[in-house]
Amino acid sequence: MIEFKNVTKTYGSIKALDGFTTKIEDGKIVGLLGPNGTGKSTSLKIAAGLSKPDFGSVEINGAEPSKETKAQVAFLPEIDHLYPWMTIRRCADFISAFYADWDWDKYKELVEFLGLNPSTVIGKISKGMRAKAKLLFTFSRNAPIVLLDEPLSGIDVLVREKIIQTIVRDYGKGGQTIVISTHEISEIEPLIEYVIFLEDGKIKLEGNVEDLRFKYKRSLVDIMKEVYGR
Amino acid sequence: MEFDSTRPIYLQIIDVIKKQIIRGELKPGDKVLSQRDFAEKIRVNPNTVQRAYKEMESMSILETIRGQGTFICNRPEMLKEIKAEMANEILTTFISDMRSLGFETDEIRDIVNSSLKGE
Amino acid sequence: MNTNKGRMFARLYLKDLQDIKMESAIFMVSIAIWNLFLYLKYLSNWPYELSLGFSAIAFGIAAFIPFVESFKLLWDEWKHNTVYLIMSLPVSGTMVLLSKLAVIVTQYMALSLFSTACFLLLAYATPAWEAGWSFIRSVITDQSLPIKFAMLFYASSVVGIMYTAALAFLSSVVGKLARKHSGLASFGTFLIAGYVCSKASDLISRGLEKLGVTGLYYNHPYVLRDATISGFPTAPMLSLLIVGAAVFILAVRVYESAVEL
Repeated sequence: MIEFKNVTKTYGSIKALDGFTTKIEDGKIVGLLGPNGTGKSTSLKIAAGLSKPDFGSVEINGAEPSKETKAQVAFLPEIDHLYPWMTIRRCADFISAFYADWDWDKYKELVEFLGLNPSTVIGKISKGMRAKAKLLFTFSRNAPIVLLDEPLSGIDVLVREKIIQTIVRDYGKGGQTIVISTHEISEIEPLIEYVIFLEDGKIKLEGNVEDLRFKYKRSLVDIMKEVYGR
Repeated sequence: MEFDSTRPIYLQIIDVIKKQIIRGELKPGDKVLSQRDFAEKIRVNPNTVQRAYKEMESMSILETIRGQGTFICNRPEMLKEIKAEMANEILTTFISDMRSLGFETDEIRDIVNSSLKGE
Repeated sequence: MNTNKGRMFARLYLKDLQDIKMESAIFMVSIAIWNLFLYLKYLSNWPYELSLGFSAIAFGIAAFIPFVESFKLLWDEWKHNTVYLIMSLPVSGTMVLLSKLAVIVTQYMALSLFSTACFLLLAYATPAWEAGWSFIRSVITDQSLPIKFAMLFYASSVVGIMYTAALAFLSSVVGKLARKHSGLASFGTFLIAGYVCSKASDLISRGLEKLGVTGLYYNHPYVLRDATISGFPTAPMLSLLIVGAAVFILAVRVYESAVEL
């Protein structure tokens, strides 16, 4: 379980998170939604241990982010964070040394499924391919907690479908907790079970997606439009 | 698969399976995809698919045999039931929509009759 | 997959080593060519002292490149956003910075030993070898002194590289705390920390001398004939090591508790 307790984080004069409080239960795919700049990335970075709250705290299974929690978390940042000079295979060798949950069989299966070539140099492939490579390294682990920051942004439709399929496939196997932040809801709508709408660093609305759909009789995209009044 | 996101997805999955049974694309005794594979194919949360399968099992549309997989129930009367059920749903919506437009029972009947003749 | 600290350290170390191997290789090739050029110059009637003097320039570069690299290794993590990957890894800041320090020391040793080998080869190919040895032998009583002195000097230079690398790490991570002008902040930190540290190491060195740790390299600095090395490690070397370690620990603390993405 990931628990945000009254988390506040400011960058200069901008409040990225403002008393953000929620509980993300185990074994669910959770969508962290909202327009750009509403604190989605910040909350994931804090949970991944890359940033620290000014006030409040984040707990991962009861522990504040640390070396130990990092071993449980697979974080996929929005930014391209892989060494451009490494080949995919070398990068896998590198990352695998740090995680007890790395699974080479899964790696091989995913390389094939995603249509990647292990001997290609990461800096020399297209943006779509790099997005797939990032996903490969995230899901070659059996991490109990997966944090995906904008996994679909700037990626063409076919790759998006493949990425969503990869997420479903992996989730179906292990039942991890997967948190996906995105501002593009329509594609991941069928994927998420629980949704948290953020605005200006605060929760605007949260709940079980099917319940919300039932209650509002409309899609998340439309609920979002209503929630944000635009 | 395209979803109408204004309705719970598990209900839509049930509808899709029902329609496939009515159209004969799925026959009694046919094996269906496992929950996991189905979820992956239609890119939907596996828990949603699980919920849909569970509902369909309680409606005796699907049955899961341990170690073998999930199958369409082999009940001869199932097709009739599903058809009746879906017809009922369509009619209920239709009637309530017509009433909301202000049509009376007789008027609705007349309209239906005349458009059936014109078919 | 089994994971252990040794394997993690090795991966981090090899990763950075891989990253700088190009620069190191280019330097080595250049030094080899440079020495070959100096040898050819000697053959075409240059005085051999001049050739050897120019060859010694490589020692300076061999120390300067790892110094630059100790900034670059950290800055590159930010430049390529790979700091997101590094900071997600379940490892301590100590391990991250220690692996980089090990890479810097490795590079320094490779480059300096290579430069020395080239220098000695050049000396051997010219009359310098004979002339040098006979001069040294004629003025000293302890025949093992040149080797001892070279080793002491070399050990001190390694400590010096570690010390400057620690300073570079500290100023880099402090620079990264600044939202803007982080290059300038790093530079400022480097100057200030460098000044404070040199004062501190002077103080510590003097204190150590009072405690009986030897201060100078040899007993009678002006009489080479009777020179002996009076102890190892020397006080300046030890004080540099102490200050360097303190700076390193501070850099780790800043990296672990203040650096954010």
